[in-house]
Amino acid sequence: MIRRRVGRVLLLLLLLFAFFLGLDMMGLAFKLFGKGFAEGMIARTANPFVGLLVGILATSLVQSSSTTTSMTVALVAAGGLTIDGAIPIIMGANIGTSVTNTLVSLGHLTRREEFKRAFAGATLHDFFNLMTVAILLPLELTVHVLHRSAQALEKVLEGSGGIELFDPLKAVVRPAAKWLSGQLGSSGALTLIAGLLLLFFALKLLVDLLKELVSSRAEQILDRTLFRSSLAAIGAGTLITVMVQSSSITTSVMVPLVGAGVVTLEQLFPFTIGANLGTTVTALLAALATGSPAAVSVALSHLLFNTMGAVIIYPLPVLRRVPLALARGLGSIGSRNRVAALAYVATVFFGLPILLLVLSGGFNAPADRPAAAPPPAPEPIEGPVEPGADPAAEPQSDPAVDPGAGAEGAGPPPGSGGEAQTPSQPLSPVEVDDV
Amino acid sequence: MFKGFFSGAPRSPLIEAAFDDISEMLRVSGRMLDLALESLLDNQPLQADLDELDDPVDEAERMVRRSVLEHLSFNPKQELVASLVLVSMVQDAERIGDFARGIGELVPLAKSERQGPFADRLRTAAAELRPLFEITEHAFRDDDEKEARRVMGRSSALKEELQQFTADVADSDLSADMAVVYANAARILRRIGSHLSNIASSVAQPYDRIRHGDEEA
Repeated sequence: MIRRRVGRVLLLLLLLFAFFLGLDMMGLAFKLFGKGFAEGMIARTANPFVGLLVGILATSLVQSSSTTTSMTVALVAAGGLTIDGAIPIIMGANIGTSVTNTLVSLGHLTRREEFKRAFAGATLHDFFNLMTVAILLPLELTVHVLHRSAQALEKVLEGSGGIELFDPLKAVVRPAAKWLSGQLGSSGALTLIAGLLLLFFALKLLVDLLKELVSSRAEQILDRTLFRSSLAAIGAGTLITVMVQSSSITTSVMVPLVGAGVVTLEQLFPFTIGANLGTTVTALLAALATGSPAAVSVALSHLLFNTMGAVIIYPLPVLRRVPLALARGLGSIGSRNRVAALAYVATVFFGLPILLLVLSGGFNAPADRPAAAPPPAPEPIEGPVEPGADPAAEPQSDPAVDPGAGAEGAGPPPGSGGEAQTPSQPLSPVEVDDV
Repeated sequence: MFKGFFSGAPRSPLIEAAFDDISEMLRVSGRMLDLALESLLDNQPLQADLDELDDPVDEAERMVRRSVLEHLSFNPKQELVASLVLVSMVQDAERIGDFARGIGELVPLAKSERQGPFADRLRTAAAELRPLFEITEHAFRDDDEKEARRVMGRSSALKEELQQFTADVADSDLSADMAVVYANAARILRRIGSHLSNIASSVAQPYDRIRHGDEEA
């Protein structure tokens, strides 16, 4: 028994190492690709709607918002994404993550009443996340509410030394990442693929292992807290999601309970909010591991997005009733017409994002897209550099691919005093000497 | 709170709690049966409100079902058979509470005191039945197949005795009210024994043969 426990803890540590290694390799790959590639990425995601759709689609495909958000913070840390470009992706990841429990609810299709409840329970998460985006995305585009708050929080964290918390980890991960990249011929593409695979599989196995390790305790927490109060349910949702590192698992677990009528939609709602809050921990860990203030800002914006959504929608009965009513309505429609339920999943999580991405030119190379407006204030940036290049000798700004140029509202927050991570700002690159 | 996270606990806490709930259901039902029999066969006034005593039994049934569902939602592979068995067991445990209450409901139907050979035979049957509660609990808590088979055997023997008792009542010259009371009391004791046997069969029999051999309960 003891040997088994030690083995599991060692495996857990190994998977965590692989997760951080994958993140670091992605950063390394972007530096190997060079400045042009990073700038292309930035230009591609400069349109916040494209970012949102990419977030939805990517998360729906991998069925893990943690993977998408971790990749996003890694890209920000590597200079391949700005904070403004990353925030809509994070929002999209929040929407996309609810595909898993919606798919789980389809398992109840054969029993009409059970499916009606299960589908309503699953889509409650969808509607809550969609509503949060509908409220916060316009606010972000106009007054940069998330960007500003996240940066303020990040400064506090930086001031307290929180950003350096993971520096010892970097000292272990970085040489391993460089060695692995070297084994792959220092190829940017191969390093990126290896990093992505490591990240994806490490996270998947980590979630599986954590679920196995903590599920007994998690089911006990659920049993003790779910029916007590809304706050207890939020706490349970958060805690269980942090424990298993996956909101998809937490919310999916609830679907059979809602389907069986043991848990009502009203009881489920605060638990779902908790799951949304708990899932932000993965990106925070990933961001802290990169040591990049910009990446930490993005991870904090994820936390703030979910916190603000909860604070705005849940306490107000008028707003709280909206996702509940929509979920009930859709559950009712889905139970009467099961094709409609399938069509909903196919459209919202896959069809619509793909269609809109095609229409918006999100799949085109940046050069194919309509000419961007001139950049507001091109200033030197410390972007990703070619391997071996002298960063000081290379001009770091290129107005033609300025990430803020083509995106309405994607520029620096007004009055941010250059604090925002935009083209007029350093992109918090990983140390140049690492490549 | 975090103690035991990595303990690899052999049994889910919710499943453990469900077993506890069923044990408690059996204990409460046993007490209810004692009180009801005391009133019926010893001609004493009923010492407690059996409906009230039965409420926690019904509540425990809900708790067991919920615990099992919560557990299976988290861990569909872990203790799957135990979970399904619990759902079957809890149904039997809940019915035992209802039957114990049913004996109490017979008392007002009797227009005279319960005395004589029929009352004595019922007392003997009740005395044979009562220990089966504890043995059944022990059998399913400790997964004791031998004890489970003992319950099934005794329950089967009791069933035959009580069937004979009912036939004898039918042939007797008892008044209508006393015949109804004795025959129903015998039927209820027989059913309680069958439900205990069903619970025991979940230990002694393969899953698909639980309740096998006693379709009546």
